Amino acid sequence: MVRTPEPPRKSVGDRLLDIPEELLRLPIRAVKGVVYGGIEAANSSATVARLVENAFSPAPITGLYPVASYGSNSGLVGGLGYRNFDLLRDGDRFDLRGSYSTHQYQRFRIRYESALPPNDHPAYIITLQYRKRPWEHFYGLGNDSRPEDRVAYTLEQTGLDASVRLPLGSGVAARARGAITADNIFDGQADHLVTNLDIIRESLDLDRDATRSTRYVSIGAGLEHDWRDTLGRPTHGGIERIGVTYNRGVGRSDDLEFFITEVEIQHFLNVFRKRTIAARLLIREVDRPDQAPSLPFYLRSGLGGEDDLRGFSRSRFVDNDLALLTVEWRYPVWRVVDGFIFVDEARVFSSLRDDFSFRGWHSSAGIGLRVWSERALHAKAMLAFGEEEPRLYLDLGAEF
Amino acid sequence: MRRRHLPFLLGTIAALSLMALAAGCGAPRPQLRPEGPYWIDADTRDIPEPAGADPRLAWQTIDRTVFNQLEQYADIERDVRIILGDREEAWNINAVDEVPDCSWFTNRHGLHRMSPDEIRRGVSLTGGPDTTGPWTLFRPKVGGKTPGFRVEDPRGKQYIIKFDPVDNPELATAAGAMGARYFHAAGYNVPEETIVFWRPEQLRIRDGLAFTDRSGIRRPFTSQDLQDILKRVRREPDGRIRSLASLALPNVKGPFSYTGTRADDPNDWCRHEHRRELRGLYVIASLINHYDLKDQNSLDCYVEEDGRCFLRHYLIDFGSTFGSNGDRPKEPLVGYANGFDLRDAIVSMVTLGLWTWPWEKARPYEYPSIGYFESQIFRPHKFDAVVPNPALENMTSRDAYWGAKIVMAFRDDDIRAIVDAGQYSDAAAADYLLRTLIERRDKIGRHWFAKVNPLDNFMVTDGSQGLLIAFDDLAVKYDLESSHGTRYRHFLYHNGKRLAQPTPGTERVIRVPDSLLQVISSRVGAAEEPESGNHLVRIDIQSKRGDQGWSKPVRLWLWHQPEASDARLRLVGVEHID
Repeated sequence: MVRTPEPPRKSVGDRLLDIPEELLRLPIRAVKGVVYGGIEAANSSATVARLVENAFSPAPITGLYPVASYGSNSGLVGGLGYRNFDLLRDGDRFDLRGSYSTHQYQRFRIRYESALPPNDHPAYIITLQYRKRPWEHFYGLGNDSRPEDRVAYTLEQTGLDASVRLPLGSGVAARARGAITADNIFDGQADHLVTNLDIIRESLDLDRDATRSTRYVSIGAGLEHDWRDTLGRPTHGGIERIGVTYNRGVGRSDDLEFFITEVEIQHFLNVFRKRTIAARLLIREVDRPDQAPSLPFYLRSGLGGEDDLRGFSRSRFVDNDLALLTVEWRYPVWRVVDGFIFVDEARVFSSLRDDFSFRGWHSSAGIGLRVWSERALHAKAMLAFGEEEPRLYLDLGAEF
Repeated sequence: MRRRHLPFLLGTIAALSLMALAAGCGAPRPQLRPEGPYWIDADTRDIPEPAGADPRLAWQTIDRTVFNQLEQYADIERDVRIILGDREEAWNINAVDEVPDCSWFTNRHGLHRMSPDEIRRGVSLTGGPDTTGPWTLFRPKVGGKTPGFRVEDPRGKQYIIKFDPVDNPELATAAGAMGARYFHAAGYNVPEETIVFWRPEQLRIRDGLAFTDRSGIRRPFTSQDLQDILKRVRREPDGRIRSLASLALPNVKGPFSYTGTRADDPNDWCRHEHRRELRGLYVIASLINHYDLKDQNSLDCYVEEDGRCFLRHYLIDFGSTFGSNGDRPKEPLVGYANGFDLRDAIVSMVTLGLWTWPWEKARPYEYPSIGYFESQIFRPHKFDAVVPNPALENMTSRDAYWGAKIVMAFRDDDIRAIVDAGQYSDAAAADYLLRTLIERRDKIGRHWFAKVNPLDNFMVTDGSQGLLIAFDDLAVKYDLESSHGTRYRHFLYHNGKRLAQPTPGTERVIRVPDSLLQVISSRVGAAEEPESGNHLVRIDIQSKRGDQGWSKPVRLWLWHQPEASDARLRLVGVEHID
């Protein structure tokens, strides 16, 4: 028997109910319309569509990709990158990126890597980079610098860096590095802070050498043992690095001379089902010969920011040496997204060997998300809490 | 808004909700008719040709994952129903809780058993592409994760040619062929999917064929481009290539949506999220882990049949069924959660990873041709599609029971016929798949048959001493429950008055003695109009398994027809109360 179907008729109750329902749906539909329009606009441009694909594809795709991040100093950063794989030889990568931020931070970089890790062949990396940071903060030298002493300065850095990585087998590699760097320091641009370098010198009791611009060449060597299971989401293994760099001033800075010694140990322990403890120890010493003038503060060891003591602003604590211990608990949240909680313990020292102490260490802790693939970490978001205000970090297009 | 207005607003909404429910809004109850239930929906009437549509996958994923979820929360009636445990039933069921044949669904194996040969054959319109002559390649697929192209065989039939992942021979082609046969037997419209072995030499490129390459440049398609595609394709030891050939559907008008109706189809009367056959897909798809239930894997085709032109609705692309994810084996979590499952992600986030999901315990797959497909950690009610699917989300226990009935109708031989269609070269792999499917099927039956009283296949006969109503207990019939420990009782009502005391027993037969029929006849009265409802007799049947309590009833509606030649009471309605 055949039915001629009809949709159910709406009752009075249905019609009454439609009114508040429609009111509730209005804002949802408004946002929906905006998002739909955005996606349609993005899809109507092949370039934008490819850009989005390149940003999130775990595969090595040649083409443009977006760069975006957020930092308390830099503000919102946006930019474009272009990468080309297999340009001069199979497995190489050429990368060009530029970014600009709401606080006028600028970064332009050209980089060529002849082979990408993990790789058993010798590889060389050449990087040419320009950066300008107009909102950098400085609180004075020492581990006990006070937040109320904060001043702002502008740092402009230009550098050409070349390094060679020579695999020695079993994950061990030797590194050699040469670089030439020009750093210019100017008055800062933060309206609400002291930004004049003369006043900064006076208020923080610094000599002229501590705030001068510099030109110097660097020669370095190092050893590395990388036995992580994957690069983007290591769950066991680790990486140990030791490196020494000799730096010598040129031109107007020819009296400048200093060494940087760095030891870094990272270990990853899979507790269960990809729940991983990641631990990192970093020690850095910046030494100068006795007869050399004092180092500009921006060339010394700085603690704070997204790479070390995350609950503090970048280079919140500055002195010659630093020690950092970080422990993270990483756990799967969804497919290629891992969550993590972390604790950082760190301190700067005038001299780590002479003044080492277990007192006065600074702590920060926080939570975050990592977007990874087997090959690389693609994006990271963190909320960190230290002894001062909380800090938020977002980084899309993280380093491969 | 001032805060003191909030209670007033909430109170108004609550009052309106209750008024709406009291006014009986929502699903229409199937009409009980003396002739019995409808078995065909007339949604194949002649309509003007609709325009095509091609919604973007990215937008649909965001819409379904975010906006559709929010809009569902704004559906007050739905919210109230969920709170009260009274979800809206499907709109397109008939009076005996079944789906009438329509342009979406045809009752096949679930109601009318197909032979294993018929199941194995599936849709067989052309028998697959003719491999005795050259194929003309007329549309290459260059981008994307998997290679593929469209060809025309010597008879002029057009096929979409798909391949297996290089490291997983037979994985996707077998899944595609088996999935199509399974859904066809279940009752859905699917294209003809055939596994075919062919030689690259038989491929010709259509003269003047142009395409857009990976760099976005439009240029002629050359034999080198073809070689580049074939380089990514696995070959048999004898040089042949195993592929899945999908017969191109005619006059495609874009995918159907799992929500709303199609404005340019006057036959489309039932909102899709309220279609039983789409809601029940949750259970049917879970057997073979067809998690890729998104709009893009469906098609509306403007077909002509018996001089009428109308839209027929197809499920397509079964390459991501069983252990296959199309271009690779499935990950263990596939089928347990949406592609991005905000709720699960929040649980993982908040518990700092201390909460573990069942799929995290999965062991690596054993057979590359099967991929990850298992029955041990499979939970029938934990199945999830790649994106939130409004129809699946609306499924009620009755919809699930309907789907489970169809799944359970596939007996071991039927499942073997489906596995045979995969043409596995490794017998052990085929045996593993067969075993796994049987175990998954029984888990599905055991779970969903426990949600309603699984009594079915009611047969009314009039005998010399009264009326006999025989039925099957599907849980017992399919060996999911013991017949010894199961008892049944029934209550007979007329006009709201119980006419007989229940007498529990183990027999799956209800006897209505002559004396009782005479009482009913006397109560009905000869002059009553059928619309009065006075002709209806209601029988509620309950089951009791072992020490458990009595189940919810199955409600039978019988039409009193004293003058009828076959039976004095005719079965006109069945409701599985949930």
